[in-house]
Amino acid sequence: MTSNDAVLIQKSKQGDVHSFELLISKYQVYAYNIAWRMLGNEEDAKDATQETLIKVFKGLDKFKENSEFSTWLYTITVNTCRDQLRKRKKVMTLSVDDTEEKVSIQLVAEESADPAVRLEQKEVAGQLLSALGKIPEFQKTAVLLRDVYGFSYEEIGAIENCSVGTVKSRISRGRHGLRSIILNERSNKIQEGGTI
Amino acid sequence: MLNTCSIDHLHDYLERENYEMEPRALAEVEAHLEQCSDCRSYLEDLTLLKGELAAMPLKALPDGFEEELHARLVEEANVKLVSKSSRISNFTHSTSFKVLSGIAAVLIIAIVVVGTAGNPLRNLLSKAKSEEASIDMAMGGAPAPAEMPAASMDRDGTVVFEESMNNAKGFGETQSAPVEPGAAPGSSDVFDPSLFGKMIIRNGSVSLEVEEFDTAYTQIEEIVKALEGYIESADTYSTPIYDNNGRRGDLQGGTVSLRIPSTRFDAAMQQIKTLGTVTHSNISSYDVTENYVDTQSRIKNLEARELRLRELLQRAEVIEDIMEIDLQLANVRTEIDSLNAIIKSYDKSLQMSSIQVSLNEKPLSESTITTLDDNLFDRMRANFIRSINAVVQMFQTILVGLVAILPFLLIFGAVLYLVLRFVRKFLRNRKQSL
Repeated sequence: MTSNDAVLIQKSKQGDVHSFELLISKYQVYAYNIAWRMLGNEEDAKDATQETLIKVFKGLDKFKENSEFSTWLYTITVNTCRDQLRKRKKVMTLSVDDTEEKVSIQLVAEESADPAVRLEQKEVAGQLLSALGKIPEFQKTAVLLRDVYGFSYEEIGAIENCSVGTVKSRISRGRHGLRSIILNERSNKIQEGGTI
Repeated sequence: MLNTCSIDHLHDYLERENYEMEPRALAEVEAHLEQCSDCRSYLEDLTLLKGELAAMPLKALPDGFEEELHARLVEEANVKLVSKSSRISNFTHSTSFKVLSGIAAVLIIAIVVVGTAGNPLRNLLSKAKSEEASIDMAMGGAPAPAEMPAASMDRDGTVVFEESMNNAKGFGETQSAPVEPGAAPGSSDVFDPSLFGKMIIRNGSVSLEVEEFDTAYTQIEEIVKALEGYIESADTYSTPIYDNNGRRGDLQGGTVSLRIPSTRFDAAMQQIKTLGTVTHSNISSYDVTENYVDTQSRIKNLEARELRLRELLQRAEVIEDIMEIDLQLANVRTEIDSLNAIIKSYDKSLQMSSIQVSLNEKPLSESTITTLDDNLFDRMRANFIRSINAVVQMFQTILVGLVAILPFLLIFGAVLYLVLRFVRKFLRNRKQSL
């Protein structure tokens, strides 16, 4: 945590709204993006981020200053989004396009994807969002935090409150699942006679 | 072929630039990759996937996000302030209860002594009466027993005020005062950060005790208008005050958040402090020069990069190149927007200082002079009866509590009896076997 953050935290604890706004200015875009990827639409992401930031402001007294503020903020972001997902009582896809089929599938077994078939850049770019919505939620969050937002294993462990081993396992299973889903969809298209 | 073990190793291999692999494991994976084309393909897929994930652009905050959040935060800050005051009030309330209990005990002893000693103490009290009569009490009404022993305390406005707050049942309903729309500072005083060597954000807070809340609030409005600032938010509340005769009235209070041009911050603080008795004042300033300059240079660099990318985009012919450049342009623009938001936030704080004013009304002074022995014994008797009632009430509460937990006690007793019986039987058997 930077010394500037420490000063801003102290002032925010005293109810100084401006200090708090300065403090979160670096992190709120990331918090919003995490929420957006987890919840799948802008409106919910905006609500969840605002709720998170208000919770952070209200709970600053509970923040232990020897820990990293950003990690604490992202932990609350992830937990707030999980609460929202729980409230929905159904699995959401990550797709921005809501017309996509909202299904949760278990990780496709390795055997279903022919290892000889390779991914191609254009199909990965097109199908990634939809595939992210189809892998289990904990794997998806771990992959998002690591590969999209560049958090370290240790930071993800702190955010998710789990060991580095678990984080690595979730990430590798998540990536594996993404690859399998994209390959499966590709082979389905081939069977339907479409072009890749 | 691919099994869970080798998959994990391939993911470790993928991350080897950030997390160093053990040399032996690294050598094993590299050796395996040379032989196994499937694993090589798998690794290439993962690399492509990771690259695509990393290239996902950051989405900018939606329009109005910061304004909406600001309004909610100000609301929360006020709630926080009121609940803190409420906690302090509860604390002093419980503290005064302990003091009252002590005084009640002393009074019981005093009554017993008065009953037995008679005239000498009466003479002493009548002497005290003539001294007391000359004191112009700052606060009217019958004071609480705690105020009795020290007349000097009664003359201290603050102490008297706090004691009366202890009697309050809690804060009244919060109501919003009209908030003036922000008036921009005059052009002559517009803050230009680049003109200053140091960029220092200054904020302040003042707590005042005032005679009349409404008058003080109007005066604040006038000060704010004169200094070309604006009232950001205002909250008022009323606190009922009680004495022996019941509710005596209400005390108005409130918190007002002001935004004043930073060049007039000192003048504003000085003028506000003249509106009443200052009970707390705080000025904070912090230097944001380094961060500001750093953020500005990052924006300049990114803008230069954006320009270069646009030039490249015009020259690009292959679709894949155009898509790649477009993606990078989106990332750069998002980052520029995010940094601009930070600069905007700094500018706002540098241009307009924030001042939190907390206003609390002093209790109404009543200039009535009360003689000592006219109502002293009445008050002693009344308080004695009140103490007795409190004791009776306490025993009643304990009795009700005991009856309430009786079923649990019975169950607990039965379990305890069975356990003891079992233990005793066990010990007896053991002794016999020995």
